[in-house]
Amino acid sequence: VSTATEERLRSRLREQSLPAEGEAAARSWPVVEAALAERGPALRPRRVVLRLALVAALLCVGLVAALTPAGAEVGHWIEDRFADRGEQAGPAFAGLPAGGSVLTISRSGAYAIDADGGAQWLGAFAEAGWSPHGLHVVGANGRRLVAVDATGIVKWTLARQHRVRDPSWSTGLGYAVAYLERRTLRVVAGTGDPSTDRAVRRGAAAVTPEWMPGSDQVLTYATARGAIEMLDVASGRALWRAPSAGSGRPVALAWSRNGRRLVALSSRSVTVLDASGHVLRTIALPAAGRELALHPSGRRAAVVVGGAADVGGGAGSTRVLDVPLRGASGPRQLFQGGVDGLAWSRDGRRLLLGWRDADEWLLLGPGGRVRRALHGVSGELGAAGGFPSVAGWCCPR
Amino acid sequence: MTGDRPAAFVPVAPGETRLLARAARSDAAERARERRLVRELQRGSTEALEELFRHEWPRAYRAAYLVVHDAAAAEDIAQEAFLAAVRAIDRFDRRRPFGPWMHRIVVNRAIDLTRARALRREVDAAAADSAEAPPDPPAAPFSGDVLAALRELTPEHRAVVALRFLFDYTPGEIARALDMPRGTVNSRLRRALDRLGDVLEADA
Repeated sequence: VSTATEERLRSRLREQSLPAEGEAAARSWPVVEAALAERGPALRPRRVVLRLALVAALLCVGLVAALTPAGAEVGHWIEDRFADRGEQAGPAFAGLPAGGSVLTISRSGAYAIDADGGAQWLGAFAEAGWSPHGLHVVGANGRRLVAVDATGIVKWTLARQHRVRDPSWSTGLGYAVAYLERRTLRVVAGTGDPSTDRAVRRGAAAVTPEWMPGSDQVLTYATARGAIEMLDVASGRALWRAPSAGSGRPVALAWSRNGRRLVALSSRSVTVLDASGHVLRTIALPAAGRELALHPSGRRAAVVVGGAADVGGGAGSTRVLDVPLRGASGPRQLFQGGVDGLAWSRDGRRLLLGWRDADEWLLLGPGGRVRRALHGVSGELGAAGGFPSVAGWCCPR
Repeated sequence: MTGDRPAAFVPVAPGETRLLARAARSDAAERARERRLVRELQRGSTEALEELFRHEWPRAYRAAYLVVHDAAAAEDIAQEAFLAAVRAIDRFDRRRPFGPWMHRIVVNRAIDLTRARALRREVDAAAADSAEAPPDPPAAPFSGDVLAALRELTPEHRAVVALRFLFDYTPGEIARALDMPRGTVNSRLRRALDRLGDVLEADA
């Protein structure tokens, strides 16, 4: 292909008139302008010292700027440099707030990311979950279930005949790990002792099973028919079964920290159940539910809806909704874009979400306003890693 | 996404040096203007938003259209990218160029939408339990052989072509934007040019 051909292609792509181009811009401008008005007043820089330094610098520069146009340019240059250093100097992950580690999954495996920006490779896991105190991680790697410590040292490995997925460490003393092998729900001791590995239910849906908080024995999971069942893994006895929670099949489960509420995300609703399996509330969603992050208070949930699973309308992108689980108010949109994973900080003040389209992690504050953006997160884990999706945010070590 | 534009490595005759220097100054001026607009937008300036919109909207819409080949969807994608930009602008790092950030969002959105539509066609076909051939894609809204030929490529190929020939990104920059290996970008570019080359040659 000649350079002349490339040039012809370049000019054709740039100059070809497109249908409805002007009308589309005219329709979109009021929407975009309204979004700016809704945004409210501009955020101030977070650091007092930085702010003072900036003010002092601007005062000095202001004197020069008052005299010459070139001075104004210099002032802006200085402001840009100082203002942005407050946002992100050094590694992207160093912008994470203190208080725990973020578990992330990329093409090259699972990593634990600390607030100082350090990333610890844990293993070539497609899925992973924390142990109760964040000291270990259990991951699924093909037909192997692997437990590692926080530095990635393998503690045990369990090999199975078929691919394993959705590992979930018990939340009491960490004595058990549940996982799925095809449609079978299995449990193994937290030591990985193969003699303890057993099937506890067949006909399970591909939904990560959730242990009741503080328990090594009571587990909830979704059946392939769309029911939710709580079972005692020691005896194998079903404690209760909610035939069909909400509309559609469950795609994610989450317990409140106090163990009094179980929240189920299904394709078209969020359902709140009590610890006995009674449905307390069902909240309809405007699009297909994909991911669920229950707020530490248990009073609200962040839910990802839409995307490839729901291609009926819009630009096919995902949306993050704030879903109150109490009171009369309905779901409210926090963010729209290609979201890949979300997690609440331990104190519930920040919602971390992976924005794949922009290669950023965003920290949202109350109301969904972006409080911090971590830019270029893919590059932090090496070129081959790809975008790191947010898989969990765990306890300080 | 800044840096190694191909033109910077082309050997030039002595007389052309001044032209390149002028182009470099023009790039720097453009970056300074963009930084100023972002700074003012962060302070809530509607005028700055309007100027950015006027400059970036046509490019965003065009890039989206080249990937999705649907005016309504391209409008949705470009609008959504601007809304995302406004909502995230508070914490936008002004040392980074704004345009490439937006192009990346637009093109990734467009790929996702095209994939989702393909998935929906499959699901609809399965639901209808029909042995018929899938319906033809909608007719092109205008007659442009190159654009018609472009539509025959996969959305990932179209996105690579749009980033390369609409925005002049290097293969390395495209690889980062689309989260794919650089070799894959090169092979997709080569394949796309092979397909489009015939049409362009015939068109010349």
